[in-house]
Amino acid sequence: MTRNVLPLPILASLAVACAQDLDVHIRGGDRPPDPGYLVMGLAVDGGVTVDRFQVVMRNMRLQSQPVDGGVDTPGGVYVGPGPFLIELSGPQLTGGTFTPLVNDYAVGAKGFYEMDIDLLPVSQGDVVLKPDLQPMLGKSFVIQGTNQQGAQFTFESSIAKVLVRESVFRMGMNHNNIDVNIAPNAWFLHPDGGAPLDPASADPAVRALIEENVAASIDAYEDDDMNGIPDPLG
Amino acid sequence: MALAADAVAEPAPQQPAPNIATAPKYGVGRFRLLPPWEDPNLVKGPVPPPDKSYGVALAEVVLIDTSIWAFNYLRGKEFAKISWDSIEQNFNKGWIIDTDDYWANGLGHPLHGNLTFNSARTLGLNFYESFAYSFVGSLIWEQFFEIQPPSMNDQVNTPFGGTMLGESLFRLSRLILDAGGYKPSAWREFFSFVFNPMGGLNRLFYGDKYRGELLLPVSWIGEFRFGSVVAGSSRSDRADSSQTNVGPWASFGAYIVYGVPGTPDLSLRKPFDHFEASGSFSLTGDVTEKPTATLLVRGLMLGETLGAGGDSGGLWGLFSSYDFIAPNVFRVQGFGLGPGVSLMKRWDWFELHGTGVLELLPWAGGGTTVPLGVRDYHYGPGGEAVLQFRMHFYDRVVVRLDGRQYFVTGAYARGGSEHISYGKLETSVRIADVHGVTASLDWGHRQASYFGEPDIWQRASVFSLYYTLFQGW
Repeated sequence: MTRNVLPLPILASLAVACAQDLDVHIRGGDRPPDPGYLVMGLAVDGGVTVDRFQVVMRNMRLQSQPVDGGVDTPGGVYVGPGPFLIELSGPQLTGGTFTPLVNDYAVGAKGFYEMDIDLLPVSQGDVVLKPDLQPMLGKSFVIQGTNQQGAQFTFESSIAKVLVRESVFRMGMNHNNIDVNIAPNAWFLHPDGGAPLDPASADPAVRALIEENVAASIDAYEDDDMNGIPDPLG
Repeated sequence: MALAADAVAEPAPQQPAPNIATAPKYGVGRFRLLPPWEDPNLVKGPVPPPDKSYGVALAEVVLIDTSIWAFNYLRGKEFAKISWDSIEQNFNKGWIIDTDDYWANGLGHPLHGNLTFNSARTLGLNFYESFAYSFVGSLIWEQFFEIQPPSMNDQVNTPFGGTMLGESLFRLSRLILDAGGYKPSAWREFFSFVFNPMGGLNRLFYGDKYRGELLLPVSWIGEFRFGSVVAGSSRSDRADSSQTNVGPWASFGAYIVYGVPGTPDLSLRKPFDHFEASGSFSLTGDVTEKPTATLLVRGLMLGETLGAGGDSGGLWGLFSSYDFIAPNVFRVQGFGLGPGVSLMKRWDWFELHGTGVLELLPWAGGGTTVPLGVRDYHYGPGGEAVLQFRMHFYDRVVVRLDGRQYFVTGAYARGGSEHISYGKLETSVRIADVHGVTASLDWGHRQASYFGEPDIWQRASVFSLYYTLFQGW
């Protein structure tokens, strides 16, 4: 190699380093994908079948250091203010498929260490701005399906919660992707290993456990190659 | 100002016959062995014609990257499990700021860069050409040989840190070798290999083909130390103002001044015709823990002498440096560039040297050994101020005072900022011939600010004793 061509690899590398964009995809399914689980189709653990899941997420933000939610860090970015109405059914919910949520958000090449997402009930103001949120007025998420006894159910929640997801989000200078993964397989499992939770139950304690399970099932991590698995840190 | 750029040709021999007084074994003033050119038996030729090989250098750079990858792959390291998909993904993702371990980023990558730099440097390429090869070697490594995306901090630390370290080791290895002329002894070959393995390998393969003219400084000071960290303490306001005692630990180190400011006939035509390097490495009591270490290299990139030298003189110009400081509770590292001046004055039996440098640190890191979240150090631009004094009493006693102040922002990663002070007091006493002892007191203080956290302060100090081998002329 002569001196005249020495800069070429440098220029080639820099040439591809210009976009700095970020996509966010909703991924429905266990993480990492569990083939045994996928065979069960739409059934989730606990003997419940989910036909449809609607959830409203907002204020998706990356923090420049872990702060356990509730406060924004200098250098943090709101990648998706929302509110976003996310509707998942079939393989979208349990098959490990990806549903686009945010496309080409411009982000600098730096590291973030926490993603926060707000779950809040839809307000009248939200509906004014986004009329398609009308069916979710007063609700944060809705689950429709069939319970352990084969009865249809509609589980509605107005939970208000900040989801704090500590992870390493290393934004590169070209293209990045974050998965917001929803894993419904444990929604109706009792956290103490007791009897499965019945979504048709009117018991407030049971409903509170399901709400916590749903919130806990939402994760966020960097997945540039979109294989469903958090990217290794190397 | 005499430019030190040597972008095209490998230089002519550096040393003219120096105009220094001679004595049967030692020079006058500060401790000095007689330079090799005073030895009538020194073999000064024949001088091989200048030669260089760009192609072999590039092949060696790729081979070094491949060898390091293969070594780690065979050890089962996750980062080395590359595939075509990982390479494609690295290009798709683009450059990131990684979250790797401080030692890997601050010392491992410069050591890697030293190898690629010296593969080119010892094949006849000049300083800047060799830097370019190290830069390209790092690009290749980052894009192809790790599953994680290419990292900007690595691309800074590897070639820049590697060049600072590499040129110092290149000069030292050539000093050891060339002080034996063109018929160096076996031990000179051996120690030259130890200081610069790539140079040693190229010498095994190609002999004197790329050696060119002898590369000897007109003056240099060297102290090589073997001893122990006797005692020390570290204190932090975290964990309820914890305090830990350290030592005794085995320790070794070195202190080098190449091209001593104030030397008559000192030539400053090329980068690192003057440089100062020091390092220490101390094993901790727990072998599973990281050792404590310092590596400080500062070279003159371009500059000129001040005064005629002899009883007084000096130099000034643009310096470049690579610092890596890692006591057992906090650390700071960075590549720097800035102006500086180094002066000396001799009064009969007393010789005083002083150096002041102000540097911009385009990419620096600093932090604690206690992780905050997933990262335990800031990355960002910063600055450094250095003030050093060295006093020679006859040719027996040397006292050194070294003060450094670092400011590191967290603009590239983590936010916040670091203020780190580092001081050193050393006294070396030559007892007989080239043998002596050194007592060293290192002291450091760190104050850090992180968003949402109270400010952190830490202190660390260690006291070390060494047997010291004196060298230089």
